[in-house]
Amino acid sequence: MEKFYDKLAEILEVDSVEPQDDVSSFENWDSLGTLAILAMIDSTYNVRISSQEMKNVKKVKDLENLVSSKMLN
Amino acid sequence: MNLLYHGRRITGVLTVVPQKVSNFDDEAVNYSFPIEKTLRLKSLMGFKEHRIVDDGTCVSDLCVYGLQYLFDQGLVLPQDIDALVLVTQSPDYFMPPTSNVIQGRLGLKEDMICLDVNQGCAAFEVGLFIAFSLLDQESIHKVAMLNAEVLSRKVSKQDRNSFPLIGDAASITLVEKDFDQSPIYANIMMDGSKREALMIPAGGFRLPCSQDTAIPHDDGTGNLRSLENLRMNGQDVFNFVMEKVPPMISSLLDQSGKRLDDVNYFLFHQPNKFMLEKLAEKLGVSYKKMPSNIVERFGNSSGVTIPTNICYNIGERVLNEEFIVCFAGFGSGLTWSSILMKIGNMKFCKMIEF
Repeated sequence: MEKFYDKLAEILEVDSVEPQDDVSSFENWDSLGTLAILAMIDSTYNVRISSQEMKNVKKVKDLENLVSSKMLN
Repeated sequence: MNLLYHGRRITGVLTVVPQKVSNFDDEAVNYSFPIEKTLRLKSLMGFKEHRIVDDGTCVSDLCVYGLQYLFDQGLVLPQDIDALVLVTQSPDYFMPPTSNVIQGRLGLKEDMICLDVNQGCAAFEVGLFIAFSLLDQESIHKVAMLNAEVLSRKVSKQDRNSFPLIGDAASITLVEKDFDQSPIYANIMMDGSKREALMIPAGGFRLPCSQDTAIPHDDGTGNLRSLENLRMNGQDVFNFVMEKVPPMISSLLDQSGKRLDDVNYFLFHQPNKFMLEKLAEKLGVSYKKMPSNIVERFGNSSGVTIPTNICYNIGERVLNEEFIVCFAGFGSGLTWSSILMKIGNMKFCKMIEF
Protein backbone atom coordinates (compact mmCIF):
# COMPACT_ATOMS: atom_id res chain seq x y z
CA MET A 1 0.00 0.00 0.00
CA GLU A 2 2.93 2.32 -0.52
CA LYS A 3 2.12 5.41 -2.56
CA PHE A 4 -1.53 5.19 -1.36
CA TYR A 5 -1.20 8.37 0.71
CA ASP A 6 0.81 10.13 -2.02
CA LYS A 7 -1.86 9.42 -4.61
CA LEU A 8 -4.59 10.62 -2.26
CA ALA A 9 -2.70 13.86 -1.60
CA GLU A 10 -2.47 14.47 -5.34
CA ILE A 11 -6.19 13.93 -5.89
CA LEU A 12 -7.16 16.01 -2.85
CA GLU A 13 -4.72 18.75 -3.88
CA VAL A 14 -2.98 18.92 -0.48
CA ASP A 15 0.68 18.62 0.57
CA SER A 16 0.16 15.45 2.53
CA VAL A 17 -2.43 13.01 3.79
CA GLU A 18 -2.03 11.17 7.12
CA PRO A 19 -3.84 8.00 8.22
CA GLN A 20 -5.44 9.74 11.20
CA ASP A 21 -6.82 12.66 9.15
CA ASP A 22 -10.61 13.06 9.19
CA VAL A 23 -11.83 12.81 5.62
CA SER A 24 -14.21 15.70 6.31
CA SER A 25 -11.18 17.97 6.80
CA PHE A 26 -10.37 17.87 3.08
CA GLU A 27 -12.14 20.44 0.93
CA ASN A 28 -11.89 18.20 -2.12
CA TRP A 29 -13.32 15.10 -0.41
CA ASP A 30 -16.64 15.66 -2.18
CA SER A 31 -18.54 13.65 -4.76
CA LEU A 32 -15.94 14.50 -7.40
CA GLY A 33 -12.95 13.82 -5.22
CA THR A 34 -14.35 10.49 -4.08
CA LEU A 35 -15.02 9.45 -7.68
CA ALA A 36 -11.43 10.25 -8.61
CA ILE A 37 -10.29 8.28 -5.53
CA LEU A 38 -12.44 5.28 -6.50
CA ALA A 39 -10.96 5.40 -9.99
CA MET A 40 -7.44 5.47 -8.57
CA ILE A 41 -8.19 2.55 -6.25
CA ASP A 42 -9.68 0.56 -9.15
CA SER A 43 -6.75 1.12 -11.48
CA THR A 44 -4.01 0.76 -8.87
CA TYR A 45 -5.39 -2.06 -6.71
CA ASN A 46 -8.15 -3.53 -8.91
CA VAL A 47 -10.62 -3.23 -6.06
CA ARG A 48 -14.06 -1.57 -5.90
CA ILE A 49 -15.35 0.42 -2.92
CA SER A 50 -19.12 0.98 -2.91
CA SER A 51 -20.77 4.33 -2.23
CA GLN A 52 -22.17 2.86 0.99
CA GLU A 53 -18.69 1.80 2.17
CA MET A 54 -17.33 5.26 1.30
CA LYS A 55 -20.02 6.90 3.43
CA ASN A 56 -18.74 4.95 6.45
CA VAL A 57 -15.15 6.09 6.01
CA LYS A 58 -14.34 8.64 8.74
CA LYS A 59 -10.56 8.62 8.85
CA VAL A 60 -8.29 8.01 5.87
CA LYS A 61 -6.98 4.89 7.62
CA ASP A 62 -10.52 3.40 7.32
CA LEU A 63 -10.21 3.61 3.55
CA GLU A 64 -6.74 2.07 3.54
CA ASN A 65 -8.04 -0.83 5.64
CA LEU A 66 -11.01 -1.35 3.31
CA VAL A 67 -8.75 -1.50 0.28
CA SER A 68 -6.23 -3.88 1.94
CA SER A 69 -8.97 -6.23 3.11
CA LYS A 70 -10.49 -6.39 -0.37
CA MET A 71 -7.09 -7.08 -1.91
CA LEU A 72 -6.74 -10.18 0.23
CA ASN A 73 -9.91 -11.69 -1.23
CA MET B 1 -25.27 -15.55 -21.46
CA ASN B 2 -23.66 -16.11 -24.84
CA LEU B 3 -25.60 -15.49 -28.03
CA LEU B 4 -24.75 -16.34 -31.63
CA TYR B 5 -26.29 -15.13 -34.86
CA HIS B 6 -25.65 -15.66 -38.56
CA GLY B 7 -26.62 -13.94 -41.74
CA ARG B 8 -27.59 -10.50 -40.47
CA ARG B 9 -26.39 -7.04 -41.41
CA ILE B 10 -26.95 -3.43 -40.47
CA THR B 11 -27.78 -1.68 -43.74
CA GLY B 12 -28.19 1.88 -42.45
CA VAL B 13 -28.16 4.08 -39.34
CA LEU B 14 -29.79 7.48 -38.99
CA THR B 15 -29.44 9.52 -35.80
CA VAL B 16 -31.78 12.41 -35.00
CA VAL B 17 -30.61 14.99 -32.45
CA PRO B 18 -32.57 18.02 -31.22
CA GLN B 19 -31.37 21.36 -32.56
CA LYS B 20 -31.33 22.95 -29.11
CA VAL B 21 -27.81 23.09 -27.68
CA SER B 22 -27.59 23.69 -23.97
CA ASN B 23 -24.23 24.38 -22.45
CA PHE B 24 -22.68 23.55 -19.12
CA ASP B 25 -21.52 27.09 -18.31
CA ASP B 26 -25.00 28.55 -18.70
CA GLU B 27 -26.54 25.81 -16.57
CA ALA B 28 -23.98 26.14 -13.75
CA VAL B 29 -26.01 28.90 -12.05
CA ASN B 30 -28.80 26.41 -11.32
CA TYR B 31 -26.63 24.25 -9.08
CA SER B 32 -26.18 24.86 -5.38
CA PHE B 33 -22.41 24.34 -5.49
CA PRO B 34 -19.76 27.07 -5.47
CA ILE B 35 -18.69 27.85 -9.02
CA GLU B 36 -15.08 26.63 -8.58
CA LYS B 37 -16.35 23.19 -7.58
CA THR B 38 -18.69 23.10 -10.54
CA LEU B 39 -15.86 23.98 -12.92
CA ARG B 40 -13.79 21.15 -11.44
CA LEU B 41 -16.63 18.81 -12.39
CA LYS B 42 -16.59 20.20 -15.91
CA SER B 43 -12.93 19.51 -16.40
CA LEU B 44 -12.81 16.09 -14.68
CA MET B 45 -15.83 14.64 -16.46
CA GLY B 46 -15.42 16.37 -19.81
CA PHE B 47 -18.78 18.17 -19.94
CA LYS B 48 -19.38 20.96 -22.41
CA GLU B 49 -22.74 20.99 -24.15
CA HIS B 50 -25.68 18.67 -24.78
CA ARG B 51 -28.76 18.43 -26.98
CA ILE B 52 -32.14 18.49 -25.26
CA VAL B 53 -35.67 18.63 -26.57
CA ASP B 54 -38.18 21.39 -25.99
CA ASP B 55 -40.66 20.45 -23.31
CA GLY B 56 -43.50 18.52 -24.91
CA THR B 57 -41.39 16.75 -27.54
CA CYS B 58 -41.84 12.99 -27.40
CA VAL B 59 -39.97 9.98 -28.63
CA SER B 60 -42.54 9.37 -31.40
CA ASP B 61 -41.89 12.92 -32.69
CA LEU B 62 -38.18 12.23 -33.12
CA CYS B 63 -38.77 8.79 -34.65
CA VAL B 64 -41.49 9.92 -37.07
CA TYR B 65 -39.23 12.78 -38.18
CA GLY B 66 -36.34 10.39 -38.81
CA LEU B 67 -38.37 7.79 -40.66
CA GLN B 68 -40.07 10.45 -42.79
CA TYR B 69 -36.63 11.76 -43.71
CA LEU B 70 -35.60 8.28 -44.89
CA PHE B 71 -38.80 7.95 -46.92
CA ASP B 72 -38.39 11.43 -48.47
CA GLN B 73 -34.78 10.68 -49.42
CA GLY B 74 -35.83 7.43 -51.06
CA LEU B 75 -33.59 5.46 -48.70
CA VAL B 76 -36.41 3.21 -47.49
CA LEU B 77 -39.83 2.39 -48.86
CA PRO B 78 -42.52 2.60 -46.14
CA GLN B 79 -44.11 -0.65 -47.28
CA ASP B 80 -40.79 -2.48 -46.90
CA ILE B 81 -40.71 -2.07 -43.13
CA ASP B 82 -41.90 -5.42 -41.79
CA ALA B 83 -41.07 -4.80 -38.13
CA LEU B 84 -40.71 -1.74 -35.94
CA VAL B 85 -38.85 -2.37 -32.70
CA LEU B 86 -38.69 0.66 -30.41
CA VAL B 87 -36.34 0.43 -27.43
CA THR B 88 -36.94 3.25 -24.97
CA GLN B 89 -37.41 4.16 -21.32
CA SER B 90 -39.37 7.32 -22.12
CA PRO B 91 -42.48 6.21 -24.04
CA ASP B 92 -45.20 8.62 -25.17
CA TYR B 93 -47.82 6.73 -23.09
CA PHE B 94 -48.26 3.68 -20.89
CA MET B 95 -50.86 2.70 -23.44
CA PRO B 96 -50.83 2.33 -26.47
CA PRO B 97 -47.26 1.22 -27.27
CA THR B 98 -45.22 4.02 -28.78
CA SER B 99 -44.21 1.82 -31.74
CA ASN B 100 -47.92 1.69 -32.62
CA VAL B 101 -48.09 5.47 -32.29
CA ILE B 102 -45.23 5.76 -34.79
CA GLN B 103 -46.77 3.22 -37.15
CA GLY B 104 -50.11 5.02 -37.01
CA ARG B 105 -48.64 8.48 -37.55
CA LEU B 106 -46.71 7.29 -40.61
CA GLY B 107 -49.55 5.23 -42.05
CA LEU B 108 -47.42 2.09 -42.28
CA LYS B 109 -48.99 -1.20 -43.41
CA GLU B 110 -51.14 -3.32 -41.11
CA ASP B 111 -49.22 -6.42 -42.11
CA MET B 112 -46.34 -5.88 -39.71
CA ILE B 113 -45.18 -6.26 -36.12
CA CYS B 114 -44.59 -3.36 -33.71
CA LEU B 115 -42.81 -3.86 -30.41
CA ASP B 116 -41.92 -1.58 -27.51
CA VAL B 117 -39.01 -2.77 -25.40
CA ASN B 118 -37.91 -1.17 -22.15
CA GLN B 119 -34.11 -1.01 -21.99
CA GLY B 120 -31.69 1.81 -21.35
CA CYS B 121 -27.97 1.88 -21.86
CA ALA B 122 -27.94 -1.59 -23.45
CA ALA B 123 -30.86 -0.71 -25.75
CA PHE B 124 -28.86 -0.87 -28.97
CA GLU B 125 -27.66 -4.39 -28.26
CA VAL B 126 -31.04 -5.66 -27.04
CA GLY B 127 -32.79 -4.05 -30.02
CA LEU B 128 -30.39 -5.79 -32.39
CA PHE B 129 -30.95 -9.18 -30.71
CA ILE B 130 -34.67 -8.82 -31.23
CA ALA B 131 -34.23 -7.64 -34.82
CA PHE B 132 -31.87 -10.54 -35.57
CA SER B 133 -34.38 -13.03 -34.17
CA LEU B 134 -37.38 -11.53 -35.98
CA LEU B 135 -35.50 -11.95 -39.26
CA ASP B 136 -35.71 -15.72 -38.76
CA GLN B 137 -39.22 -15.33 -40.12
CA GLU B 138 -39.67 -15.77 -43.86
CA SER B 139 -42.15 -12.92 -43.88
CA ILE B 140 -39.72 -10.45 -42.28
CA HIS B 141 -37.02 -8.90 -44.51
CA LYS B 142 -36.46 -5.45 -43.10
CA VAL B 143 -36.53 -4.40 -39.45
CA ALA B 144 -36.45 -0.76 -38.36
CA MET B 145 -34.87 -0.89 -34.90
CA LEU B 146 -35.44 2.40 -33.12
CA ASN B 147 -33.59 3.69 -30.09
CA ALA B 148 -35.01 6.90 -28.66
CA GLU B 149 -35.08 8.90 -25.43
CA VAL B 150 -36.37 12.22 -24.14
CA LEU B 151 -35.02 11.66 -20.62
CA SER B 152 -33.95 15.29 -20.15
CA ARG B 153 -37.63 15.86 -19.36
CA LYS B 154 -37.20 13.62 -16.31
CA VAL B 155 -33.98 15.14 -14.96
CA SER B 156 -34.02 17.96 -12.40
CA LYS B 157 -32.20 21.10 -13.61
CA GLN B 158 -30.79 21.42 -10.11
CA ASP B 159 -29.26 17.97 -10.16
CA ARG B 160 -25.61 18.54 -11.00
CA ASN B 161 -25.10 14.80 -10.84
CA SER B 162 -27.24 14.14 -13.90
CA PHE B 163 -28.35 17.27 -15.71
CA PRO B 164 -25.00 18.23 -17.31
CA LEU B 165 -24.70 14.94 -19.09
CA ILE B 166 -28.24 14.03 -20.10
CA GLY B 167 -29.02 14.11 -23.81
CA ASP B 168 -32.04 13.42 -25.99
CA ALA B 169 -31.90 11.68 -29.36
CA ALA B 170 -33.40 9.01 -31.57
CA SER B 171 -31.93 6.60 -34.08
CA ILE B 172 -33.18 4.26 -36.76
CA THR B 173 -31.04 1.21 -37.48
CA LEU B 174 -32.09 -0.88 -40.46
CA VAL B 175 -31.38 -4.56 -40.03
CA GLU B 176 -31.72 -7.14 -42.79
CA LYS B 177 -30.81 -10.69 -43.72
CA ASP B 178 -27.38 -11.24 -45.25
CA PHE B 179 -26.31 -14.13 -47.43
CA ASP B 180 -22.89 -13.78 -45.80
CA GLN B 181 -23.27 -16.22 -42.93
CA SER B 182 -20.27 -15.08 -40.85
CA PRO B 183 -21.05 -15.38 -37.15
CA ILE B 184 -22.07 -12.49 -34.96
CA TYR B 185 -20.99 -13.14 -31.36
CA ALA B 186 -22.76 -11.51 -28.46
CA ASN B 187 -23.45 -11.75 -24.77
CA ILE B 188 -25.78 -10.26 -22.19
CA MET B 189 -25.92 -10.27 -18.40
CA MET B 190 -28.38 -8.98 -15.83
CA ASP B 191 -28.20 -7.93 -12.20
CA GLY B 192 -31.54 -6.76 -10.91
CA SER B 193 -30.28 -6.79 -7.33
CA LYS B 194 -28.48 -3.53 -8.08
CA ARG B 195 -31.41 -2.05 -9.99
CA GLU B 196 -31.70 1.05 -7.81
CA ALA B 197 -28.41 2.53 -9.01
CA LEU B 198 -30.27 4.03 -12.00
CA MET B 199 -33.88 4.80 -11.30
CA ILE B 200 -36.93 7.04 -11.70
CA PRO B 201 -38.74 6.12 -8.46
CA ALA B 202 -42.21 7.64 -9.06
CA GLY B 203 -44.61 7.64 -12.00
CA GLY B 204 -45.15 3.93 -12.46
CA PHE B 205 -47.50 1.72 -10.50
CA ARG B 206 -45.20 1.04 -7.54
CA LEU B 207 -45.26 4.75 -6.59
CA PRO B 208 -47.78 6.72 -8.65
CA CYS B 209 -47.38 10.48 -9.09
CA SER B 210 -48.82 12.66 -6.33
CA GLN B 211 -48.28 16.14 -4.90
CA ASP B 212 -45.58 14.67 -2.65
CA THR B 213 -43.67 12.91 -5.41
CA ALA B 214 -43.25 16.23 -7.23
CA ILE B 215 -41.45 18.00 -4.36
CA PRO B 216 -37.68 18.44 -4.89
CA HIS B 217 -35.42 17.38 -2.00
CA ASP B 218 -31.72 17.73 -1.36
CA ASP B 219 -30.30 14.22 -1.50
CA GLY B 220 -27.63 15.10 1.05
CA THR B 221 -24.99 16.00 -1.53
CA GLY B 222 -26.41 19.36 -2.60
CA ASN B 223 -28.34 18.01 -5.57
CA LEU B 224 -32.08 18.65 -5.69
CA ARG B 225 -34.51 16.23 -7.26
CA SER B 226 -38.01 14.86 -6.73
CA LEU B 227 -39.10 11.23 -6.77
CA GLU B 228 -40.29 11.80 -10.34
CA ASN B 229 -36.77 12.66 -11.45
CA LEU B 230 -34.00 10.38 -12.68
CA ARG B 231 -31.68 9.36 -9.87
CA MET B 232 -28.23 7.97 -10.59
CA ASN B 233 -25.67 6.73 -8.09
CA GLY B 234 -22.49 7.76 -9.93
CA GLN B 235 -20.09 5.86 -7.70
CA ASP B 236 -22.03 2.60 -7.85
CA VAL B 237 -22.40 2.87 -11.62
CA PHE B 238 -18.66 3.54 -11.97
CA ASN B 239 -17.84 0.50 -9.84
CA PHE B 240 -20.29 -1.66 -11.80
CA VAL B 241 -18.76 -0.66 -15.13
CA MET B 242 -15.16 -1.18 -13.97
CA GLU B 243 -15.98 -4.56 -12.49
CA LYS B 244 -18.30 -6.09 -15.08
CA VAL B 245 -17.40 -4.67 -18.48
CA PRO B 246 -13.77 -5.86 -18.85
CA PRO B 247 -14.61 -9.55 -18.18
CA MET B 248 -17.59 -9.26 -20.54
CA ILE B 249 -15.30 -8.10 -23.36
CA SER B 250 -12.73 -10.82 -22.61
CA SER B 251 -15.48 -13.41 -22.70
CA LEU B 252 -16.75 -12.07 -26.03
CA LEU B 253 -13.27 -12.23 -27.56
CA ASP B 254 -12.75 -15.77 -26.21
CA GLN B 255 -16.09 -16.86 -27.63
CA SER B 256 -15.19 -15.48 -31.05
CA GLY B 257 -11.56 -16.55 -31.08
CA LYS B 258 -10.58 -12.97 -31.87
CA ARG B 259 -7.97 -10.82 -30.14
CA LEU B 260 -8.23 -7.24 -28.94
CA ASP B 261 -6.09 -6.09 -31.89
CA ASP B 262 -8.47 -7.64 -34.40
CA VAL B 263 -11.15 -5.15 -33.43
CA ASN B 264 -11.06 -1.90 -35.42
CA TYR B 265 -13.37 0.10 -33.15
CA PHE B 266 -14.87 -0.24 -29.70
CA LEU B 267 -18.14 1.61 -30.09
CA PHE B 268 -19.33 1.72 -26.52
CA HIS B 269 -22.25 3.34 -24.76
CA GLN B 270 -21.19 6.85 -23.71
CA PRO B 271 -21.85 7.50 -20.01
CA ASN B 272 -19.18 10.25 -19.82
CA LYS B 273 -15.62 10.79 -20.99
CA PHE B 274 -14.04 10.12 -17.60
CA MET B 275 -15.56 6.65 -17.26
CA LEU B 276 -14.79 5.68 -20.85
CA GLU B 277 -11.15 6.69 -20.58
CA LYS B 278 -10.77 4.69 -17.37
CA LEU B 279 -12.44 1.75 -19.13
CA ALA B 280 -10.18 2.07 -22.18
CA GLU B 281 -7.10 2.07 -19.90
CA LYS B 282 -8.37 -0.99 -18.06
CA LEU B 283 -9.08 -2.87 -21.30
CA GLY B 284 -5.77 -1.88 -22.83
CA VAL B 285 -7.46 -0.18 -25.79
CA SER B 286 -6.25 3.10 -27.25
CA TYR B 287 -8.50 6.15 -26.92
CA LYS B 288 -8.48 6.38 -30.71
CA LYS B 289 -10.13 2.98 -31.08
CA MET B 290 -12.63 3.74 -28.34
CA PRO B 291 -14.23 7.15 -29.00
CA SER B 292 -15.47 9.01 -25.92
CA ASN B 293 -16.51 12.31 -27.48
CA ILE B 294 -20.29 11.99 -27.58
CA VAL B 295 -21.27 13.28 -24.14
CA GLU B 296 -19.35 16.53 -24.47
CA ARG B 297 -21.15 17.35 -27.69
CA PHE B 298 -24.55 15.68 -27.51
CA GLY B 299 -24.99 14.33 -24.00
CA ASN B 300 -25.73 10.83 -22.77
CA SER B 301 -28.97 9.74 -24.44
CA SER B 302 -28.83 6.28 -22.86
CA GLY B 303 -29.40 3.65 -25.56
CA VAL B 304 -29.00 6.14 -28.40
CA THR B 305 -25.36 6.96 -27.65
CA ILE B 306 -24.07 4.02 -29.68
CA PRO B 307 -25.83 4.94 -32.95
CA THR B 308 -24.78 8.56 -32.29
CA ASN B 309 -21.22 7.29 -31.80
CA ILE B 310 -21.33 5.38 -35.11
CA CYS B 311 -22.82 8.25 -37.14
CA TYR B 312 -20.67 10.98 -35.65
CA ASN B 313 -17.32 9.21 -35.58
CA ILE B 314 -17.32 6.84 -38.55
CA GLY B 315 -20.48 7.78 -40.47
CA GLU B 316 -18.67 8.65 -43.68
CA ARG B 317 -16.33 5.66 -43.60
CA VAL B 318 -18.95 2.95 -43.07
CA LEU B 319 -20.53 3.80 -46.40
CA ASN B 320 -17.71 2.22 -48.38
CA GLU B 321 -15.47 0.42 -45.93
CA GLU B 322 -15.95 -2.52 -43.58
CA PHE B 323 -14.89 -2.73 -39.97
CA ILE B 324 -14.85 -5.30 -37.20
CA VAL B 325 -16.47 -3.56 -34.26
CA CYS B 326 -17.31 -4.32 -30.68
CA PHE B 327 -20.48 -2.69 -29.36
CA ALA B 328 -21.03 -2.61 -25.61
CA GLY B 329 -23.87 -1.21 -23.54
CA PHE B 330 -24.01 -1.13 -19.72
CA GLY B 331 -26.40 0.56 -17.33
CA SER B 332 -29.98 0.49 -16.25
CA GLY B 333 -31.31 -2.86 -15.09
CA LEU B 334 -28.52 -3.37 -14.35
CA THR B 335 -27.84 -4.81 -17.78
CA TRP B 336 -24.58 -5.26 -19.65
CA SER B 337 -24.19 -6.60 -23.15
CA SER B 338 -21.76 -6.65 -26.03
CA ILE B 339 -21.64 -7.65 -29.70
CA LEU B 340 -18.75 -8.42 -32.03
CA MET B 341 -19.68 -8.01 -35.68
CA LYS B 342 -18.69 -6.58 -39.04
CA ILE B 343 -20.30 -3.34 -40.12
CA GLY B 344 -19.85 -1.48 -43.36
CA ASN B 345 -21.05 -0.86 -46.88
CA MET B 346 -24.09 0.86 -45.43
CA LYS B 347 -26.68 2.58 -47.55
CA PHE B 348 -26.69 5.56 -45.18
CA CYS B 349 -25.09 6.55 -41.89
CA LYS B 350 -25.67 10.11 -40.82
CA MET B 351 -27.00 12.54 -38.29
CA ILE B 352 -29.81 15.02 -38.80
CA GLU B 353 -31.32 17.68 -36.54
CA PHE B 354 -34.88 17.91 -35.30
